[in-house]
Amino acid sequence: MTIRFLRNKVVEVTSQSDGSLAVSWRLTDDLLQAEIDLTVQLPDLEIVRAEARLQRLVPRIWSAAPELIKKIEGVRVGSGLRKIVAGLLGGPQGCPVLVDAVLESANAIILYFTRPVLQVGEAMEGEEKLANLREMIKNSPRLVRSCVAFQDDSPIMQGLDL
Amino acid sequence: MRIDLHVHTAPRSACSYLDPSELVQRAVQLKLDGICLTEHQVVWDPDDVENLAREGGIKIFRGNEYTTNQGDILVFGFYEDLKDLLTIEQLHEKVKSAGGFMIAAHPFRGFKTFGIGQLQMTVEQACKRRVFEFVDAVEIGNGKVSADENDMARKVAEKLGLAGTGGSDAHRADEIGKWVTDFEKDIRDENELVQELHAGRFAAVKAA
Repeated sequence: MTIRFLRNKVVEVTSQSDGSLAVSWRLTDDLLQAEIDLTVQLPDLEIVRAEARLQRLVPRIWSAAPELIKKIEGVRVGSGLRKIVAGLLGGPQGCPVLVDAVLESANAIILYFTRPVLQVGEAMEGEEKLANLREMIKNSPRLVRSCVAFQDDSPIMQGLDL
Repeated sequence: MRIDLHVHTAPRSACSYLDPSELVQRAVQLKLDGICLTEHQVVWDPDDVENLAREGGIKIFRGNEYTTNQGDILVFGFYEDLKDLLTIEQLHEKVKSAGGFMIAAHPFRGFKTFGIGQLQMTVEQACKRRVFEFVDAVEIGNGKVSADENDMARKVAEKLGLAGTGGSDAHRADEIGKWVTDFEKDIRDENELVQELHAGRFAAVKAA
């Protein structure tokens, strides 16, 4: 017997005319169709609006998803988000689809801001590139020793006193 | 009296690589007078703390770092072992009932490649965060965030009239004491620590 199950997901981040970001997260598989929309206000990355629509074969315990996701309004995309989302939307009375949707949406927002920063560095060569990386580390001390590239004996770390 | 108000040790904080004995040895080397154990929602047993303090000949106090829907909060004088996520209102109610003290921990900590600078946050905007309605102080010196992020926390604390504390947020031995809090008086126990925090007789200091 062959069991076939197909799931597709997509997440989009769009800048709005009022300066906020609209995040649209969609999932469709053989059983479920889910659409989650978030509006994130800058500069604080606060989730000011959250809506969820679950359709087709939705487990009864998830029927309150449209109300449940409102708990995430007022939360910022920032430190501790995994724990916050798990606490607000997860657990026995929660909805794992919403947890995934919000975390993947948050990840998309982070990438939205991360990509331009990395692209600037990628366009550089040699010492200029190293200097750019050193500046990045100075602005984010948590990067220090976080991976092999940022260990004390790495060329990137030379001259930094962190 | 110089105290590092924000330290995580292993295994009580899963993200830490810092053995408690190593912490004490390093704190003594750095001539700190005391340290606060602020694990992530894990309360130390008082007897374990006493044994650790005796081992190193240094003052050790218990705190805690709770995650709320409005970010991480350092709490002193409240020792309930809570594992679930609390809203900032819920935590505030519990801590106030116990006479405890709440500090907004690293309130402007950014991401690995971008932060408040790229997001162009102003002090006025930053002051509007709800968390500041519920805390007694702001961590204006955290060893794991950038100078700009600490600076924003300091400006917000000043504008809102909140006190500012310093703590290393150390997860490794070489991170201890990067930021500390200097208290005007000698502090003998946890009750006095909370008393001095409420009195505001302290200042955040960056290690030289």
